[in-house]
Amino acid sequence: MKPFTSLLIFSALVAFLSSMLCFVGEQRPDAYFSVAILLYFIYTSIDTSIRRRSKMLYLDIALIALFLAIVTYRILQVLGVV
Amino acid sequence: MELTLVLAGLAILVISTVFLVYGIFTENNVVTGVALSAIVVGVVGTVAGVTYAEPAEEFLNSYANDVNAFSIRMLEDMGIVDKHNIKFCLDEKLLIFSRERMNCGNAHFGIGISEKSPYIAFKLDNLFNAIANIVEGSESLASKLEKVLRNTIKMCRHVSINEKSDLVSIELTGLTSSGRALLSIPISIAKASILVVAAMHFGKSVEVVEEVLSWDKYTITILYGGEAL
Repeated sequence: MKPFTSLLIFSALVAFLSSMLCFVGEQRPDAYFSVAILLYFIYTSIDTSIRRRSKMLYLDIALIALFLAIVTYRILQVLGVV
Repeated sequence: MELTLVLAGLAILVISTVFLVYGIFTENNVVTGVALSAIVVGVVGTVAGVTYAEPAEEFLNSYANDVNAFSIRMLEDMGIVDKHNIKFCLDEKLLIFSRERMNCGNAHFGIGISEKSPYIAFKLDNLFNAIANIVEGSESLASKLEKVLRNTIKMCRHVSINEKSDLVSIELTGLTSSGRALLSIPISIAKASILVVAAMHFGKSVEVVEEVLSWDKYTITILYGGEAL
């Protein structure tokens, strides 16, 4: 599969999941962001055409760091630390 | 770089940033969230486009396979598949397959017979220059081999070296399926690369003494000294 097709499918999946979140009335912006990041990792693990042709390592590291920051913030919020 | 992907990614980034700003100012969390999702798509598209490399690998693979098949057929026709001697001559940049051991000075590019021993010699100028661009002179042999075999050809995960007088034993572990396929045939770009790297490192012609291929491991013992070379 060509990377452009892969990106289109990835965009469609993100659009679908975002509309599902809208549909259930999700009000936390970071939830949308986290779901998009998770979807990126899941999708690029299944369809490797983007990774085969492009170097995504630094983006992977950045997205994992952002995802961990969001999760940490939410956990601290639940624990009442912040 | 793939301009289409970069433009698509940047367009998505710009539009989603506008929506993100709008969402923040109007305190609409849903718009902000959807814009953040779209930003992920935009960033992925932009990075994929900027770091895009032409997919020449598949073409080169099929080319290498054709060359391998042709070379093996020639070795079969010359009757030197089962019992052969492999040598890389550094000065001539020749890879020689012969039935008996032979001196570098007696071989010429192509097919021939020297001292009643048939041989086939390949000129490896291009491979030599390509490897010279990948490795640096000051590195260890293991590091050079890792750069070529692991990072470039992607045929194994680890390289270890065991050196004893004029002999060096190179062990490749964690062979990939393509690496195993390349090493299971008498002649391939992988074996040629190992010999070229070794010859460059020692600054001498090299000769294969022994090869052992198992499921996950390949060991090749190379002689880099001696009068015969």
